[in-house]
Amino acid sequence: MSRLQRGSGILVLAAVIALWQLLAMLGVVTENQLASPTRIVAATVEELQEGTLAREIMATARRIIIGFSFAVVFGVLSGFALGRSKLLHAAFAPIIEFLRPMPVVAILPIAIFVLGLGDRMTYSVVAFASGWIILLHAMDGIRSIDPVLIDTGRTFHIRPLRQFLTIALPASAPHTFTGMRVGFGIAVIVTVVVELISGFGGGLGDYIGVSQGALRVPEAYSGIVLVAILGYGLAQLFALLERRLMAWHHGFKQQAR
Amino acid sequence: MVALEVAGLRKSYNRAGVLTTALENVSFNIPDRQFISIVGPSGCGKSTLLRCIAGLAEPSGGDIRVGGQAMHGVPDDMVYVFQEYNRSLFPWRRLLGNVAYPIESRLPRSVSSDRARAYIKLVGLEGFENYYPWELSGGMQQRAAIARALVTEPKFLLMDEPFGALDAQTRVSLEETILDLWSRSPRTVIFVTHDIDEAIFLSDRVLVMASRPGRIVEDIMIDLPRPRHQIETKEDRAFSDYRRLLFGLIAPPSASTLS
Repeated sequence: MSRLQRGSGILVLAAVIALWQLLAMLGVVTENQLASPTRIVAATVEELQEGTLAREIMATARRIIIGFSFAVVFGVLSGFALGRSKLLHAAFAPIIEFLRPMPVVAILPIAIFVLGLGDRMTYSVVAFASGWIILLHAMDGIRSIDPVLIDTGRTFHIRPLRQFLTIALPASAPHTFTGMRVGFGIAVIVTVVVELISGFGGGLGDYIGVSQGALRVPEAYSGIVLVAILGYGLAQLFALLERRLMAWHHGFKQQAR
Repeated sequence: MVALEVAGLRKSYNRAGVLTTALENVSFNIPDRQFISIVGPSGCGKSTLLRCIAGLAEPSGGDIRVGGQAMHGVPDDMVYVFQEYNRSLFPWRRLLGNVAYPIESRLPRSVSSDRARAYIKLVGLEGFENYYPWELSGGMQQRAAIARALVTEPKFLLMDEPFGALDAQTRVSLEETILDLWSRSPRTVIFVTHDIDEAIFLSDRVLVMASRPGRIVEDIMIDLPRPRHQIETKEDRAFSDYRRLLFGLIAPPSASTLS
């Protein structure tokens, strides 16, 4: 990315914030509709110092990370199993297609009923919502491995387990990582939604809900902005990890052009 | 000493009720350490034949015996080199890791690493050990694939149009490399190619196949002196005689324009 390209991104962001501040100051939008950026920053600082905001941020971050981890373990393992076995795939594909598009708001009441309120329920819902996409990508990654790679493993008499670990796994990794990236985005959203709707256990979602209920507008927007920053920050960490592990893939794709 | 026996090999495919015979009644024996090429028109089944021998495809009938023993799955001591070198090397491993792969689980790390380096040097890729395959040219990648195949020191080397996707100059260079490697460590090589000149230049013997159904129509010993040279051998009158013969067998209608 050139310096112009990088700079332009920051420029647009700054311009939007400036415009937003201007609109608020001019009274085009009222305080109750859209708090100005300065008010949001002030509210954030105040809440961080005197309130529980720091704790809420940590709680949401924890839920995202743990819920996502469960999704990865579940999604990757089942994805690999379904990718390797045509029988398992045929057996479970229909039910996956059925469960996958279920919106979180639909399953949340059932989840609360079965698991109660609390972290166990949150982790389960987050894992459920983001696990499917990881599963499908991992499965697809295994199923679409180049047959030449498989034949290479065969002609060198590599044992099946070793073939899986040293050929199938790396070959399908790019696919799987894409699934994980998408799944992570879902995990962030779902975590906040669960916190907001259940109104239990704190976290940024709860904080936003409570602030909205009390008509504390700057605090509510502060919560929303913090969710965005948290999500972005964690996603960047994930991207860093991916770039390290998949360095070969980026180079490989570059070459292919 | 007969290294490989193929008897009555048959391979057919059943696609939506239509039976296609790719190979029909293919029989031949290969003695130890012979360099044999298989040529034929596109689609005659020469790759299918090679894959059956390599244990990568299941014959529909007939018998293949390696060293006198019936085949079960992929034979030991036999390695297949693919035409698609860029898809067969692992893009997530560097050159050294790729070449060492077949032996690294069976030997101590230092031994497999040293042996891999030796073969990398043998194919002329010394200095590129830390490069990823996709950072190398096509010819270099195929050399890497050959090094990887040889690192297991197999008795049989099966090559499926290995130089087909390369330019003419790279092909010439790789032909010389293969002959050099073979003369240093003789083994049985079965070389599938569509290039008649290449087949004559490299081999002791050429099997000619026809298509529909795939079958062997001619079995020719190449009586040209070794070592072979790109200029001198091809200037030999015998070379052009073989050439005329093979072209005539593979593309009969236009053969009349050759003489």
